[in-house]
Amino acid sequence: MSEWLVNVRNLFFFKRMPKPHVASKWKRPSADADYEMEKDWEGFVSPLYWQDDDLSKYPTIKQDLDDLDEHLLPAFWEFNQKAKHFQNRFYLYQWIFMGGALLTTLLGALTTYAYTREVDGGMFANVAGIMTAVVSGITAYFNYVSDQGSPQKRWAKTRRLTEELRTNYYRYLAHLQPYNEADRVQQMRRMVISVRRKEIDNG
Amino acid sequence: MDNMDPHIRRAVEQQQKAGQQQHATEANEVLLRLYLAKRIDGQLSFYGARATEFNANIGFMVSVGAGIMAISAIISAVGTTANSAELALITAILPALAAFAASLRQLYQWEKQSSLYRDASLGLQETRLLVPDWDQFDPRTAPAIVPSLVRATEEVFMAEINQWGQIALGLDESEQDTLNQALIDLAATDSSIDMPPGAAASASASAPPQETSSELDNFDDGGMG
Repeated sequence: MSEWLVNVRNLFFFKRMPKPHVASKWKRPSADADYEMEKDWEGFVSPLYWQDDDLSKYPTIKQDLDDLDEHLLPAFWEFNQKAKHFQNRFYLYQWIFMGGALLTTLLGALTTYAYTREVDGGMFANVAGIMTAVVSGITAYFNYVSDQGSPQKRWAKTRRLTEELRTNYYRYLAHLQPYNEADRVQQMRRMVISVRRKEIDNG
Repeated sequence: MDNMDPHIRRAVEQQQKAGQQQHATEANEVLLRLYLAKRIDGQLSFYGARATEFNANIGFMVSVGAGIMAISAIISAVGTTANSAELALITAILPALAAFAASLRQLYQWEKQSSLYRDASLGLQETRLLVPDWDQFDPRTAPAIVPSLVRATEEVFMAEINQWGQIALGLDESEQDTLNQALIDLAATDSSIDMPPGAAASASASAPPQETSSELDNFDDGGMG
């Protein structure tokens, strides 16, 4: 029974139900330990959570991690949060469209039924008709807002840029090209600026 | 180093030729373990969890669709003998629910995402083979393995995110059309019970935005994860 409940709770309309609001700006946790935990959870290296080795014994790795923390991760957190924001907004609008369409159909059917049966002397049909119009108006409004905001495109583009930063994080740690020269910090900063430039085009 | 994998040996030679700034051997070993745990194994767990979740969703929605169709068939059969307005109402509502369920499946595209994650997962398992079993691992090879492994793995991630972008943007026009059609069908259901024209207009206005052109094509081939 409990396993069945867990399975039900894992279904998308519980687990992936869009939230009314997801902030577009990331806020760094006030406690350093919480920040390190978030870093670890996102798949980055946190010396606090890496128990297998004492990373302070490896000065190059330690320095690289500090450089990445200073120059790359701020952009990552920013884009990551934006991607979550646009993803939520996209699904929220889609749910509103689909829910609105379903509700309109149900109300339309009820209106016809109430009209045919003269429920409450035709009063119910009038109320259902007005509700149908209201729901139609709301869905039309969100359709317009969604068209203007393009959350789907912005979600996909921001997510891609976020993942580009994540890849460069590991390329930098491994000293792959172009991070295999003495000016690798400059190269990394240049890459972050180039990703930021792409993000400007995203609006 | 003599019995080293030719691919790894070539990488070592290339690095030596290029005079690259390298980590010390011991640090490379740590990096290797870090990369395997944080980047590869972490992502493999993510793919596995998502695939399980998607499969559960697919199964559930198939059951819901089948249930609605079964109830629809029963009510239609009963409706032929009983002249009931209530049954007509239910008959009109059920296809709308079925279309709603179809729209959700179309929106989330679990089948496509699941197959994408399976593919990426296999790609990661393949790149993981660049690292020998730990009992056969020669620490001296770590400086050559790390760059090869990172390069190959990040290519897998890049391919995955590019394909994901195509799915997320719904670039397949036929599928976008199917989703729109499902929503239009949802509205058209009312025609069977003479839906007021205002409702039909609003339902078509509620169709999702058309996303049929690739915005991701503008991106360069920068590393992706």
